[in-house]
Amino acid sequence: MLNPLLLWFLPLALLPVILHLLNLNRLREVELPTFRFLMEGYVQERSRIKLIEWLLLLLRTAVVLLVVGALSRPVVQRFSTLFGSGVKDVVFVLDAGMSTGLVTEGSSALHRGREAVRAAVGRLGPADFVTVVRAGMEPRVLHRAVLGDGKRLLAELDSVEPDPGSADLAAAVGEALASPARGPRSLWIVSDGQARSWNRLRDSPVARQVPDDVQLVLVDIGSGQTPPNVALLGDPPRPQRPVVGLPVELTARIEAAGNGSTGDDAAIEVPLSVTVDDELVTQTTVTIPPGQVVSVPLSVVPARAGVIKARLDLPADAFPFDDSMVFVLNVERRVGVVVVTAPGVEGLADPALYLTAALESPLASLTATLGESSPQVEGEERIARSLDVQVVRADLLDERRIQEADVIVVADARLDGHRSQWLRRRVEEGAGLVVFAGPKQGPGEEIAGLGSFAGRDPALLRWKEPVGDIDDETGGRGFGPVDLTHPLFAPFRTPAERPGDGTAGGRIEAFDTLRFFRHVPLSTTGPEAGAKAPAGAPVAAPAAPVTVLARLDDDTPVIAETKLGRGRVLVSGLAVTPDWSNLPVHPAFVPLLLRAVQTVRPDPPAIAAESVHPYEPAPIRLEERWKRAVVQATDPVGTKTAIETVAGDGRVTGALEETRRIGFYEFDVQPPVGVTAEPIRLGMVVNREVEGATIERIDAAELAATFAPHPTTLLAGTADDPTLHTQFTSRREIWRWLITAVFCLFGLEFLLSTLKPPQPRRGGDKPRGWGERINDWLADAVGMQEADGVEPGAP
Amino acid sequence: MPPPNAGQTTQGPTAPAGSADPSRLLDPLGIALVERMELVARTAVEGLLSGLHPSPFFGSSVEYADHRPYTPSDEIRSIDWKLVAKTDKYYVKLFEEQTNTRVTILLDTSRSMEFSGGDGITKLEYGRFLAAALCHLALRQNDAAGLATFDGEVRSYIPPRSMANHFRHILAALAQATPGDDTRIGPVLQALAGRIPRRGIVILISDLLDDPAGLATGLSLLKSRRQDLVVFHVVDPAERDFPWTKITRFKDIEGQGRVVTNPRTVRAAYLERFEKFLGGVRSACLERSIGYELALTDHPYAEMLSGYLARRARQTG
Repeated sequence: MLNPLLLWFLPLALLPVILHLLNLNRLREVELPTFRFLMEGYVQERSRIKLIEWLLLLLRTAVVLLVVGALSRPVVQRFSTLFGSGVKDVVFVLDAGMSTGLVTEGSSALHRGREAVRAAVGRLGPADFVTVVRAGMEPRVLHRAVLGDGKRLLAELDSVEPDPGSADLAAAVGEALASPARGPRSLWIVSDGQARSWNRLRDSPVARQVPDDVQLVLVDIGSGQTPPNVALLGDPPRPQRPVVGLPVELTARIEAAGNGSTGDDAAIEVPLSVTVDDELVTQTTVTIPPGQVVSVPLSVVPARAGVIKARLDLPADAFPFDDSMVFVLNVERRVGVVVVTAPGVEGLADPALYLTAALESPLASLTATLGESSPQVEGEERIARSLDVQVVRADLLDERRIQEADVIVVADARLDGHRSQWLRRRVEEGAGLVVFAGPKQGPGEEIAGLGSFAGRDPALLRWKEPVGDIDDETGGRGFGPVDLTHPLFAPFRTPAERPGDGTAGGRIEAFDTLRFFRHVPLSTTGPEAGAKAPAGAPVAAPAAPVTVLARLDDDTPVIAETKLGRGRVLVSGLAVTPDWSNLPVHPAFVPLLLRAVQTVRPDPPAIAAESVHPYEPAPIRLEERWKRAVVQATDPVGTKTAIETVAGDGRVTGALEETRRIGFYEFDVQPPVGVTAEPIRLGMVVNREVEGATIERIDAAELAATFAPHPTTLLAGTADDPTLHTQFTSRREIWRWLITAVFCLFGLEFLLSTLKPPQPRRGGDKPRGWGERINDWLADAVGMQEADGVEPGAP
Repeated sequence: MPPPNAGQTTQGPTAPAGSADPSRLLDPLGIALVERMELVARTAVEGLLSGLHPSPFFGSSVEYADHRPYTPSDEIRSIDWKLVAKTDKYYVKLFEEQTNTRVTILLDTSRSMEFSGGDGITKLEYGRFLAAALCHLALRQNDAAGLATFDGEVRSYIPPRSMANHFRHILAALAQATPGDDTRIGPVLQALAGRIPRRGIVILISDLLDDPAGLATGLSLLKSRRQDLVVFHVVDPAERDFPWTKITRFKDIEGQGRVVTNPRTVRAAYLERFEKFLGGVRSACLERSIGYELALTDHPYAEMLSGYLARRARQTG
């Protein structure tokens, strides 16, 4: 690139020619008597002389051109060969990983990358074939066409934003090289050198499959600086089935990046805000030592049932993408528990006394049982506080209460035919049922008056004759082996009692003091879990399996689980009366009862993933009877997507595939025809994949080594070395080279001017010098013969 | 234009160089330098007077030559009476005759003789001084001196005479000699050979830039006429050294040829050919027993001439 004003001086290159022509008229003229000798030599060497004279003229013209060029301060384009003539195939892989959003020196890496691509595209011709691949968590081709005026490409370029996760450069490079080349291809990888992306690329075979004829240019747009950055790490807290009115305990993990650039290792204080439904509910100041992760406990109390959108926020810093995290609370209403007791039982003999006390137990009872430091304490308390307990005598039980109940506890109560039907229908709809035996229970009676449990099924689970003498305090029995894998007993499991050690059953130390003086053994005439159905059982309506969860030490089954319709049923042959055992007053009774209620609590008809990472499928699972339900997902910008569901294995599943946007999603499930139920709305969030506050980069040497042995050109466009434009536009002044060339031309001119005519080559002569060789070459070039022995003076 | 001795051993002439005044050719120091020398013919020459040169005839000189039997018509005084007394036979004593000779100077006045490569004198001017000195030398030793000027043809011819005022005629002719046409030495020598009938000394002052074959023919013709031939080859130093360095338009002084060239590129080839030319001329003279002397115009003619005469005297002696 020349200074155009100085191009006016280019005609000076004609100066030697003009001087030559002028000198022809001003030449000294010599009338030479011996002209014929001169002429003979001249004729013989005329070709050589003319060649030398032309060379001299060219050299002098070149000298003038070079001097003019040097004065015009020319610059050359470093990539002139790349951007030279001919149709080219240029492929840009633009790193749009989350780290490219890091702002240093006033601009983000992605911004610098966009400018780099923009500058490169500006130097291409309209006929060039340009491919731009956005390297995000998944590669996306922004442009793959002839450049034309480039407006469409630039518009696509402007729309590029950092992805919520690391860039998959390997996939992007593979995508970039997938199409056949339309000409001499060059591959530009514009990246901030984030370690995770590049390590993945280095381990990928794609890095070694770049064709040899592809010119590879790496543009480093990252930054070596470590700006102060505080990040919310990991996945959002996932509350388990939050209930309205109950506090949800959350934990936020925050990390402060070490300030390597300043060496300041002072702790950072940042406010952490919790926003629920766009309302700031709490804000706490967190002190974080640089380079460390701090866990911050938080508590949110949902005020309503349904989808609650919440978020954690830190003040925006240089890297704002890890300063916030969203999460949802799919809040359920409180669990309605109806305790049905027999009428006429009063005082200490009334099971309702113990049941309500346990279901509404204070924390003290839990800590007394499980120990103050037990993690189960918190869980049990949460269960207890989620319950809305009502006690109803069996004769006063109405249909409305049964329908509103989520869990019904029948404690030694006999229901009449109508109430039994209501109860049966409600359980078949999904409500949970816990049945305790008692003195009023006759042998062989239907449990809770439900008859055969499926109505159409044979009676699989019945009471047997009560066993034991309540007056014989020495004859009481204790618990035998229990199913430690079942949620009912799992909380009592000690670290030494691991499931999967070969036996599902085991003893629980906390139960050693339980004594049962009288109990009602269970008759499990139907198939137990894992057993075949009895012969003659209707094949079309197989009986629900019965699982014995606990036996006494004489191997009598006393606690079993089965299903009735969609409802879970837990039957206990152990009575809640102090006459029969010390169970009602035993510390283990409270957690046992709470777990029992929790176990039979009806599952929601739809369960969806509450948090996924970008591009991960977000699954949703429905009950089988909802297999024809219409499921629709709404993304953060309001785009609705129908979800296809597949029924199988007793479940209906579907998934939202398009999860590349960060924010809140909603699943809307419309019940299918024939299912009487309210539409279901579930919330889900997509958060960025934040691994740490420090963005690790690999250095330039490692960048280039990724594609070794393929030769690469590395351009520094980092925030610390913002010479990208200079390198990119390749403005490198060459006047020094031109001056050097001028001196070289002077030397060449001197050499040509002082060349002697070639001497005849004779055998035995000493080796010819380089000057003589040049002479010989010139003589050969013009076809000049050696002196032919003219004897001009011989008379 | 200064004389060839200018700056060397003589003062400049009183008359301006190139003028028609004959007296300017009388360079006192140059004349004085050669006056002590003698131009002696190396072969027998015919003359009317007794002089320095051997004559083809036997005469009365003191140099004994031979005896022969007496024949009638011999002069009685030539009989060697002492020998008669001893042998009783008549013998005639023969003596070598020493006579004066005719020195004919052939001065080339072609255009090529007008060349001067620098600040020195032209070859023609050099030849004028040389011819004048030779004439003076010949007349001083009672020889007859003549002058012929020529270019493509004989422009003037002054027969050799030994009269005292003949020198003025020669000087006038030299002074009036102007550069003429192209050189054609061969035909000129053939023409002059017929006009110089008797054996004498012929001195050719020329740059010899002519057809080598014609030059050789002319020299051979003169030599065949028993002429004692001396060639003064007048060469300008610029012709020998080719001193030009800048691009120059060279023009043939006697022809139409011209060329523009860088002298440095052709100098070597030129010098090679010019040396061959000088060697060829010198060889041609020596093969024909012709005296040859290279006269460079930057070398004082008197020194050149005295040196040549000294060598010639030793060779003759």
